[in-house]
Amino acid sequence: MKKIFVCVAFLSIAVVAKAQQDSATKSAPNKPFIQNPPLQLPNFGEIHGNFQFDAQYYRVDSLINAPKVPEKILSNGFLNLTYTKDKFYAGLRYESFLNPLQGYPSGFKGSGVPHRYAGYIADDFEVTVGNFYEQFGSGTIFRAYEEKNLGIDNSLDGLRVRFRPVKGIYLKGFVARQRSFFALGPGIVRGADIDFSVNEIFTKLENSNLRYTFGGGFISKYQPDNDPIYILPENVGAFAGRAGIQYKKVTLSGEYAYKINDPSADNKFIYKEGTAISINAGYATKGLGISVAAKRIDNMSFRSDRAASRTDLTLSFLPAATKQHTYMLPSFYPYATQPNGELGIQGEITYTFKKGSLVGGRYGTTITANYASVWGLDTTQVADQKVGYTAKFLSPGKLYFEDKNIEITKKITSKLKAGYTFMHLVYNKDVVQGVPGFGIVYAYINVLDVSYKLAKNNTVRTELQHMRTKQDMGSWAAGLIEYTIAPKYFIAVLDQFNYGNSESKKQIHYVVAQAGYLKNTLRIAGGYGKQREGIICVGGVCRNVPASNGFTLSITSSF
Amino acid sequence: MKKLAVVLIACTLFVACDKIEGPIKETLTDLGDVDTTVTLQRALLEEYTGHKCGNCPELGSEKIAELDALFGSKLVTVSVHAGSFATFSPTASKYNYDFTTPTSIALYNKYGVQANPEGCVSRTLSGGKLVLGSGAWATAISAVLTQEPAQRIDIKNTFNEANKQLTVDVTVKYLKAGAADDNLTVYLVEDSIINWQKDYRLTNEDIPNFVHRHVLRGAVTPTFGDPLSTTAPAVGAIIKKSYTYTLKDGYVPKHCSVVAFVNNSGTDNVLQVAEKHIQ
Repeated sequence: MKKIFVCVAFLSIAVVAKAQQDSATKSAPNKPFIQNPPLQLPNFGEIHGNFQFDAQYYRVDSLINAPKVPEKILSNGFLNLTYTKDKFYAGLRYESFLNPLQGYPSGFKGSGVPHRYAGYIADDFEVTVGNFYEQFGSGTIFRAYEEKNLGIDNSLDGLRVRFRPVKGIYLKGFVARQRSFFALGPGIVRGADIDFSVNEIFTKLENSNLRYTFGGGFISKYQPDNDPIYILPENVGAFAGRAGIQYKKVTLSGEYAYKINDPSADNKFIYKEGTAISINAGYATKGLGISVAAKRIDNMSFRSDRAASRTDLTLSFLPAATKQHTYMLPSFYPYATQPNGELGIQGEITYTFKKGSLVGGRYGTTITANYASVWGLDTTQVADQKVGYTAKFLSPGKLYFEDKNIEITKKITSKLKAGYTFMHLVYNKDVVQGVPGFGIVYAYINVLDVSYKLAKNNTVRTELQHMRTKQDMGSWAAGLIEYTIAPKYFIAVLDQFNYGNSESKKQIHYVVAQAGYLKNTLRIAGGYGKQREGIICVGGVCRNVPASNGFTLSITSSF
Repeated sequence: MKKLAVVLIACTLFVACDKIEGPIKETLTDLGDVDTTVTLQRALLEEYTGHKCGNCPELGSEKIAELDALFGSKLVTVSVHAGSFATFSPTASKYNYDFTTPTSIALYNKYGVQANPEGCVSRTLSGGKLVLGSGAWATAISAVLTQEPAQRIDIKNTFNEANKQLTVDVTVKYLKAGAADDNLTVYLVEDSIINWQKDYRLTNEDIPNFVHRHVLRGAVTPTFGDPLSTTAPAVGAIIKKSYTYTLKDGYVPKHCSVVAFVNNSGTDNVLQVAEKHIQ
């Protein structure tokens, strides 16, 4: 903070000096024949920042299972400040969770400055000290990132260097400990990664249509073994190799990762090694996009603390190979990656029918079809704790998740746009949410999204959604109407109605009203209503959100 | 390329992996007989569990049995049933028994327990955390047991079969200087309650006759304790407290015991703990 105060003080002096100079120039009625040279203001660099505050007032609502919140009001907030001057950069983030919003990890309780860093970039070399985020390849063995919606911040606190020894070769390495709320985790993490961009290294290939990249990373974590019962590995290493190739409109990439014995709370302290393999292919041209992906994960949960659980202190990042839906009911049953083992495939095709064609009409029509399926591994338990289990390589076990969906979007007139989504979902709630006893949910979901421009700045948008299922909480219907007066105001009302619940007292309308005001970078939004219990996921990582009833307030701003 | 070579060599230094080839368990020493005249430092494990928690038999109950074998009487366990895995329906054929109590719910809420099984070890931070997964319990217990005992706690229970009234007399002797905000907390626990329990490892996950151990039945003192003194107790100070508690119908006296511990209301840490059967 001290540095920031010094910088702010310098800036204030500079602004005052500039103001005095302008004032002097304007007020001087007779300019002298010989003028002083213009005042050269020193370059103090730039400070930028962004602020966010979310608060909620909670009311007890036993009907929807909204728990009593003793504080009644909970809030999360932060201010980011970044300073840059030439090759130097520094920053910090003040965070305040008084107390954390429902559903957020309780470890965040409190306020402080858990994130601060400084660094510089000198030609092909960069050094960062303090907190930083980093990722090796797709993140299979390592990704330090922040996801505010999930309450995840597993940034590293230590030292990092990045280096480009020759054109096309990129190296990075670090030694650090991981952030654990307002403290640091017990493990020390060491990592190194290298990327080769073949077309950059060999100038002859610079303009080739065939482009190659290769890379590999290694991560090792150290955590002392103080366990009086088990002999635990104190240094656990994992490596990953990756390759990518692109020929004109076709891309193909893959990654393989391996982790040595890593007994942990996640794998119930077995000493089995972990592996992961993923393959992605794609084709994209004007009006057509095709992508396919396959992956297999076996015992690949990797954390800097072997005893950690939930989203704490994760090193490996294993995104779901499934489509991430944004509408209310399609996102009702999101898939969460199962790091202990899964086998998944996904394919998607997007085609735009040209304007003027039979299906395209006057403005064109886009259709996207997507299929994803995830199974558990076909495993056999072994009594030896060193092995834990054996798994067949490409033999699917229990079905965890299946999603077949099609989305059609069309601009009908210059004022009217519409979108329709159909989705068939198979969701193994027992496995995905870890709450056995619910069984498999089969759901059929329809969504109609229509927006109509009433005037130049006024748009009304509606969503009508329906989910038919006989399992879990039964069928739901949902609706939304949103009125926007661009660019400053919006108001919306949405209702999710659990009309199919087998218990009549639980056939509840979850109605929420929201309004917002926007001006430049400032956004203030408030709302009131009932929020159903559920889970939200980003990239296959999920958190539970308990039901709530009350007011919400959100403020964001940046400069 | 010289620089590259240096960096690559540096990278190889990261190749730090410990492959466990031999046995995975430490060699345990025989605990032998415990000398009751010597004041031992004891650790309190408050396990958060529930009868619908299918991971709890393996990660909770079996882990505690393993810890009991290792630490013997130095470990005092209280199993706290609360939260979504402890819900029950009196009219259902399974899981119709209420293991929860106002005390267990208050503890569950205060410590923000979010999964089962989890636990607090002497309500002391371990690796920066208060609520720990079962994999971290042994390490945290070992750390607590390395401390010198700050108090000696003696419990005397007098149980009246006729009216089921229990009188608990607790004597706390300070072996180190105490603090004015030290509390005495006394709980009643019952062992060997046979009822339903879920176990995900089984084909039929619902076990009708699971033996529930160390179940928290209620607080004899207020949930978070009763002040021991208005001033900081000096070394050698002896404080005596007496409480009465009536056992509810259905509690089996010969399976019940009293757990008493000194906890600092400022830091929340449990400094010393003792346990004694009521019969």
